Amino acid sequence: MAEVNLEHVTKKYDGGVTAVNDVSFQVADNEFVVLVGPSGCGKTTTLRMIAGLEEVTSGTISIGGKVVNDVDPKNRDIAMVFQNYALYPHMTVYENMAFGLKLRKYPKAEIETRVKEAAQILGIQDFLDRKPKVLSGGQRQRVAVGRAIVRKPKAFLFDEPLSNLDAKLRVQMRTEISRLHHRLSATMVYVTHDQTEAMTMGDRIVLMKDGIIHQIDTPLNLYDHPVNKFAAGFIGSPAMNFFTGSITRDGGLQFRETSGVHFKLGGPLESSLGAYEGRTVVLGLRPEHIGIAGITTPASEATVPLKATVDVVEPMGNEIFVYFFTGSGTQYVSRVPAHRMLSHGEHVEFLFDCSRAHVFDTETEKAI
Amino acid sequence: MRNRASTVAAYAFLSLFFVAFLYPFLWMIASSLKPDLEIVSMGLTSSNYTLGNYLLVFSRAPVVRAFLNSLIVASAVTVSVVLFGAMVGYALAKVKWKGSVYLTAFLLFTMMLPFQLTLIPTYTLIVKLGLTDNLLGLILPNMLTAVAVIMFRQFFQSIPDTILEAARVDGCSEVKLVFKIVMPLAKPAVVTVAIITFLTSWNDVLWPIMVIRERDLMTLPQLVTTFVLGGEAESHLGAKLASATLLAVPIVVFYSFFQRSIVQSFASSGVKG
Repeated sequence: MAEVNLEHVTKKYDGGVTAVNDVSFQVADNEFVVLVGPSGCGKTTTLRMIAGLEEVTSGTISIGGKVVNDVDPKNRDIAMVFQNYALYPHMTVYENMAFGLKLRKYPKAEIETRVKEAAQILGIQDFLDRKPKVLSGGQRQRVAVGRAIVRKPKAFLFDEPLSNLDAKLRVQMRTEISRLHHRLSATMVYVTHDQTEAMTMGDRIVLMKDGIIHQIDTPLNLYDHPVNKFAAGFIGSPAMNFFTGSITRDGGLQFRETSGVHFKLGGPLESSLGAYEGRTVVLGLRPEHIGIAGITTPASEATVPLKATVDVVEPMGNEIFVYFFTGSGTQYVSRVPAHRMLSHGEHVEFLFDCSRAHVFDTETEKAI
Repeated sequence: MRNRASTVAAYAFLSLFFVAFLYPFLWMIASSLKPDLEIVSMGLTSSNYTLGNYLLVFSRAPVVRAFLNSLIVASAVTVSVVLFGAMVGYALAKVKWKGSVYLTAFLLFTMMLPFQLTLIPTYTLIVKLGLTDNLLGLILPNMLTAVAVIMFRQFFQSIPDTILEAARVDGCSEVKLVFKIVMPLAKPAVVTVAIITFLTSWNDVLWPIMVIRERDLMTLPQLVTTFVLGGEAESHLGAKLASATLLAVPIVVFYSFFQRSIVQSFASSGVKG
């Protein structure tokens, strides 16, 4: 196993499109790093550059301390799992898994031991003599993972491996890959557009958009301390609520939304927002920090009540998501325990816990 | 009742065509086994079936030698067309380089040129290389065809890139990629190209007639043509028919083995047999 290091890596395509712009991060030995971001953010291109399937325009990529910019994929000692499995259709499961080892001229007995061991780990030992086409999606992805682990490579690269699976299987495979990471103590780089996968699997998350890295952090830090509005909005489901308004001083610092709704800003925010008095900012509040009177109790002194009409209610079983509009016409969502069912059109009092608010500069979108 | 009547009518109609197409062929085989005097009849039966015509052909022309020559030439051409066609087709379908589209268009253009147009330049080249009266003179100009390249290219394009990328990460070089992943996945294309190439090469007469003079180096169609038309059969119509039958036998045997693939090949390639 080895660490993977990217320094100022840029990828420009012939048409002048910059897919990846000056990206630097390090994946430590045995670390599980998730690259996450919306479609077209450059996460897959970054992964493909690590694999050697895309050339690097500038910057250096090193694996295990060795710069690999000009090294062919086959000589980088990495294994990759693809979204569409990319199994060899003309080979059996066993041959698929053994292929890389055969090319590297491993002894037959060693190949057999490794394939059987991997098959055992992944629970595919009964399918070894079948062709990929008769397997289900989940089984195929297990074979693809198996093909990667038999090689015992320096690093594993996963390119949205669970996207083609149904929801239930995705959750199951997610835990299996996490388990595999612990079992193999392997260096893994995992690309996904699904923030849930990123949060649940990664030791650290690299959040990308438009070819640049917005934040590199542990899942909880990313959730609790997003560095900008994009990070705040991308991580978390349902997404963070954003309110645009101005900071005024009216018997203490206040945030006044365009429609006239206003919150008192107390605690640490009061000191940091002083300089923004009179300016427009964006205030972000996670759904779980908007309670509902009668269901939740005010979380802190900074809780601001606001009456609004319930628009849509989504019961999730253990909790409910309640969508509503404020006077400005923007839709917001609250996430509360499912103690009491609400219905469309019901007037309720929402409780905004402003002590948990994130405030962002409207121009730079950076957290204040 | 009406359905049945129309079925009967259809079968009767088809049978008519079946006989019209098959009868000349059967007549050729039957007549090759009759004495010359009986051949004038259009019937298939005879009371004096004889192998005399065949013995005459075998005694006057090196049939076995020509059969082997044809086999050598057609096999060599087929193997090389499949091998090189797949490699070039792969480069055009899956390797990203700037001239690929233009080269493909150029190859398509060469397919429009009739063989007769390149006949004389190719012949001059073969003469200058000293390859007349040499089987290489038959093999070399046919070692790669634009049709094969285009067919492989089209087929290879349907193979997902990620499979090739997975193989590269697994440790495949580009050459191994072609032979271990792409070709096995392209079996239908390989079979199609092989069959079309083999049959075309086997049936070719014009080019061998230009390049080969020595009887021991002639291919079977060439030998039969020169035997029948070159006066060696004299007026022995039976011997002419016997030599024509000998020419047809390998193709019939070949066809009976690969019938399904051949029909699919011609259907999928849009090339007439």
